[in-house]
Formats: sequence, C-alpha cells, structure tokens
Amino acid sequence: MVISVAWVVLLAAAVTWELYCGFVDRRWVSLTRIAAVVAQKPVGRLFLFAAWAFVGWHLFARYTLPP
Amino acid sequence: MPGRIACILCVAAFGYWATGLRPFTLTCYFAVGIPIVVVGSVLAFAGRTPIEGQRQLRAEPVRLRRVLPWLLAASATACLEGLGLALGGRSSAVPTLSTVLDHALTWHALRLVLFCGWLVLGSVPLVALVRRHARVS
Repeated sequence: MVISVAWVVLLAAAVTWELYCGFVDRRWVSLTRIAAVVAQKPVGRLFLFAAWAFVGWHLFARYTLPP
Repeated sequence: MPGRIACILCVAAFGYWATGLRPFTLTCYFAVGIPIVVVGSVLAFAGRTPIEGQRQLRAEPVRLRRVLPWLLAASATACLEGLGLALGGRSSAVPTLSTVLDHALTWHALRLVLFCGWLVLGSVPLVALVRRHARVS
C-alpha cells in the first residue's frame, strides 16, 4: 500500500513539476522541452516514437485486468 | 473552430470505443495499432518535422542542473520498479508501475483520459506537418 501511494505521489509530482516548468518558471527544463531537444535529430524522433508506441501498446492493448 | 470541435469529438468517440474493447483481442490491437501506424507513416514520409520554438532551443541549451529534478524522478522510478521486479513483479506490498497502472486501468473513464492524452502526444508531429503545409500554401 505504501509503495502504491509512493507511485501515485511520484506521478502527481511529475505532472505538477511539468506544469510548473511549462507555465510558471521557464528557467527549469520541462519534459516537453527535453523531448523537443531529443526530437531535433532523426534518431531522437525514432526513439520518441518507439517509446510512445510501446507505452500505448503496453497500456491499452495488453493491460491485465486484476481479478 | 467547428473543425476543431468535430476533431475533438471524433478523438473522444474513437477513444471511448477503443478503451471499451477487451485487451489481448484482435480488435483491440487494431484500435491501438491505427494511431501507431498513422504517426509512424507521418514520421517516415514527412521528412524533417518542424518543432515549435526550435531556434529558441538551439539558443538555450539544456543544462544538467535544470534537469536534476527529472533525473531524481527517473532514479526513484528505477529504484521502485527494480524493487518490485526483484520481488516477483506481482507483489501487492511492493507493486511495479505496471501493476499499479493495471489496477487504475479497471476504470473506463481513466482509460479514456489516458488514451486521449496518448493520442494528443502522438499527434504532435501530425499537427506540425499540417501547420507547415498551411504556412507553405
């Protein structure tokens, strides 16, 4: 239970930090900006696409409903 | 504006249908595979996709100190995931991210929201391409 809460806190913190970096204090680097820098090169774009496709496939086509 | 609303409604309807399908079925693979094929085709055939604010990114390189919070989050994720996997991956006391997400995904509404968010992320190169064509024409 504690670790489940830790996961939720970690995800919430990541989303909050992303919004803070994107809209409040732009001196900090947001994930969007990191992705934009990575996407400047074809290999980076391929990596981002592969990561996006993997996450979607894993989350929405191959998730396991708990009993 | 009506075009945007129609687009949002279509994405939401597609998302509602796709997230209502049973996992590990051919229809589900098809529903998730369509966006992947579309985005992959755009990236493969569109060439160099322009990125918003690219000049600004070149002018302001990413410094390690400014990325530190993300590195800490990635380290915490790796530690928790590693611990969960070391304990078998299905432990209810120390669940992996996949296990937590599997429990969260039992709610159709959350599946729909995450799926639509995933589609929006994937549509970035598509939107950039449309904007580039609009600028050229």
